[in-house]
Amino acid sequence: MLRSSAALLGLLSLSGCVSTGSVGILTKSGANPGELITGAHPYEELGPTGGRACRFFALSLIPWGDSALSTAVDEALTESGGDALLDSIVSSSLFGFIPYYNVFAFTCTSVRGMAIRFE
Amino acid sequence: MRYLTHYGPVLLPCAALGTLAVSACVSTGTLGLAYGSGEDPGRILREPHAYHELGPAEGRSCRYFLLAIIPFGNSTFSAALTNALKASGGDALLNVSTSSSLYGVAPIYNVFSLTCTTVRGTAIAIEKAVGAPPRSR
Repeated sequence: MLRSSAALLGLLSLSGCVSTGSVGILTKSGANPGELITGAHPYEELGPTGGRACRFFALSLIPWGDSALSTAVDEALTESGGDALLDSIVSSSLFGFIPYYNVFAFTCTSVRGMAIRFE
Repeated sequence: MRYLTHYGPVLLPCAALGTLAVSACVSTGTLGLAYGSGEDPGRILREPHAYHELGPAEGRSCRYFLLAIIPFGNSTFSAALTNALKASGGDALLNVSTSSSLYGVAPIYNVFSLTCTTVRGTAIAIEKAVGAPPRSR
């Protein structure tokens, strides 16, 4: 009885879902990104890194934050000091608190990958 | 002012109804290069490659949430990128603009919401590495 009540309460108070995918290369916006392909760019691997960007929505009327992938990539590269991400896993999530009345919702974009720095 | 006096009793309830019926917000950003998933993507950077531009491309992917408990769809950037590359026949996008949006229909009761990711950029097809031996047949 207690367990089923807790499950029902959880269902009514919190909901969420996440989608995940992969991308080979992600780089920050630059003057000539095509040159990254036409030229040879040896690089050093800095290790795994990650970033996250979220947008919040209170009472379904007041939005704030930024959930664009570019913001998550900027955060990951700033943290690691890298120029690009290789073999990235990107995920997009949507969560709601007391979802029936849409009291608070947020959507987040996360990225995790190998940070590299061009030599 | 005359219009407000005349149409105000109709417009104000419509505006209030619109606010209660639909809500939305969008975040936008840019990336330089987005290359789809593949074997050893680092090789694209380490070795010089020629490419040709295929033109502007766009892809979109959405996740839907019905009655706040039934989710379906996929709103990841990678799904939107795959859609853009499939439509254009390209291998990567240059000068990528990405946006993430969240919409709610009858949001006060959370009847239906959707979050979408859209990517736009110049699709390119990457050719073999410059100086690489020709492929044997």
